[in-house]
Amino acid sequence: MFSEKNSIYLIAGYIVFLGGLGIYLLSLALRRRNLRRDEALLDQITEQIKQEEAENAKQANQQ
Amino acid sequence: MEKTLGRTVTPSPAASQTTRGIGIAAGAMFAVALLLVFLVAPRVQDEAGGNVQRIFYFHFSSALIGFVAWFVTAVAGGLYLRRRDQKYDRVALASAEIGVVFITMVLLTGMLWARPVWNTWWTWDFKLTLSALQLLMYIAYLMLRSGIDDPGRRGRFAAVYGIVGALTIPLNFLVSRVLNSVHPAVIGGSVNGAQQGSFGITGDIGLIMLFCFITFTLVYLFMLRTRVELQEQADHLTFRRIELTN
Repeated sequence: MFSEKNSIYLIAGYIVFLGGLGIYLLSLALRRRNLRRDEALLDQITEQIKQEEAENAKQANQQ
Repeated sequence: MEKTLGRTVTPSPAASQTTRGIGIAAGAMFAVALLLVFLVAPRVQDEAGGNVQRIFYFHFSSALIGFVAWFVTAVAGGLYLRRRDQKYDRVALASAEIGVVFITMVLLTGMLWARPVWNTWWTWDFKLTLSALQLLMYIAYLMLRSGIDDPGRRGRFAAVYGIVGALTIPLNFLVSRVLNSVHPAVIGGSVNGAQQGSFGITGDIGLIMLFCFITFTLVYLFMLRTRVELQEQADHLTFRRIELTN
């Protein structure tokens, strides 16, 4: 099958299919990873803000 | 107020499991489809490309799924306009993006088939030109979305654009059947006398085509669900960021 002179087009065609789907799936995986990172960062910032608010409240009570 | 913009949108374990199940089934069927195309499908006559015609199985399935994806974009856009619920806008966006991926593959693999059969990579034929315009139109749809910050306005504009864009889908189907086009009309009746590289759908070819189409439908469903889940998470994070800054 691959010995025919036009086989290069067939192989290239399936490289396009596999590559196209693969690249899109990879982009989905990378976007998911980035979203998880963003979420973790937001959790961290929210936690920091809560701690600061608690400390401020404590200081205000002491005064 | 847009619905479901800021609610907690972590996908339920059952939904994620369903997506994973569809992904596994799609992957397994994809491998079987490749085997069928390369080992079982018959070689057609040289006028249709001989072995190169094997590109057709995935080319045809990708084209159908690409158009289904853009049709889903239009339907979801219509539902968004009616109910103003962000979940429909997410489906519209996800489906348009996946449609762009599939139709890009269709154009590229069509060129790879055309080179040995038509002796040219590209010709400004009705069907080919319309397909290229459609691809550009949906790339523009994604660009339009990324240029509007307000979710409500973005959803409305994109919905109208998606509905108008979908009107070109039946046109693409008809163009190689009604007008003189070099693109073969493999399925359905045709009065097109200019087509080059056509071939008959015999038993095995038809069955493998059907199998490939079902496989690509599962691939599309997997991608759609995954992309919608990602968009839900992204929207939720945007909402949290806004809350933090206020």
